[in-house]
Amino acid sequence: MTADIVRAIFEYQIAEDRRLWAEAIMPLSEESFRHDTGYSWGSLQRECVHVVNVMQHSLDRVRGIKVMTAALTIEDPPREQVRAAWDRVEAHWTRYIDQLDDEIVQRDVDIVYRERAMTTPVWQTIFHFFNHNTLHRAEMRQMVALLGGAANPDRGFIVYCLARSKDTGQGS
Amino acid sequence: MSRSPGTCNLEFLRKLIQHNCWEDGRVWQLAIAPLSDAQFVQAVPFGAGSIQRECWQIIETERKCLRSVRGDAQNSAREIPDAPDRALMRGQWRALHGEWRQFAKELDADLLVSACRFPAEGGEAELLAWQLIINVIYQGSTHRSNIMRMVAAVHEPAQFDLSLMQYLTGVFR
Repeated sequence: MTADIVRAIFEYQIAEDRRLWAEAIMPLSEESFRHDTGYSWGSLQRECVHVVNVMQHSLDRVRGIKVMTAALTIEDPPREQVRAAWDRVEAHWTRYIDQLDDEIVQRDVDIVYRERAMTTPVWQTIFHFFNHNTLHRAEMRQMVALLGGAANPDRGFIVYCLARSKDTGQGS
Repeated sequence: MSRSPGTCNLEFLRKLIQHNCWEDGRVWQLAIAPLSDAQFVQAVPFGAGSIQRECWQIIETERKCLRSVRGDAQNSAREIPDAPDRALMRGQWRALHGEWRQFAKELDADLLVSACRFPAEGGEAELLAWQLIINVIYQGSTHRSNIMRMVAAVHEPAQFDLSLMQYLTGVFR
């Protein structure tokens, strides 16, 4: 059941990331994507690069990889490349979550967080990834709104669950 | 370390609830308390439209979801107060956090998968308790992120980061 809960939340996570990209980020111009809004990472471009790199680092951590890799290493990447990197990391995460079981969720893993070595259960890093993306989706919507774009509203988890149970014809 | 799946569910959901309450309190104390009443209600062009409204949305979701998982009958939506009575709002919020912390202590594996009635468009919907808890966690993160941006817009940026990992590991920037 633990892994099933994590999988259900992951599906919501991915659905919300994709909604943000499709409805709020992609309709903007490339220039707006790179515009410095003066808060947090400044531009949507830098914010997205930061988020996708943390997604990659989190995946490295749960896999027990000590030397973390960056999802994007090029300077000033165009939106198309950022999106491609995001899709790539999301696909890797999907494969990882698909094979998750209750034992793996509870397993302790050695990680380095802010230059400190520690041992934490896998679920902590998974929820860090979920929480981090959620915080940054809100920041990205703020940026889109301030850039004059259509910042689609956040869809709550219960709204998602109810819509999904309607789609599948199943109750909760 | 060997833990049963049910125990693990309880462990991580309890920690997520505790983090939610802790982070609400930290945002209030370090980011909202220094504001004037005028800044607290000042209109901003994103999110719920003002810091007061963001706080209200968090409080209302936390209140309604807690009532639902407890099976309380009275669970209708409340209107946002006209006056920015921050002391009253803070008092209500603190009491709500006390209730949530107590609920987290009492949480058991059966309750997590129990069906709960929740007020929704067009009547009531049925959801599992863990879904309502996760809803509180997610909406809290979203609204707190909006509050931090709003505080920067109406006053100055708060000097701390929002991060679940910081809370879980005790490692702060």
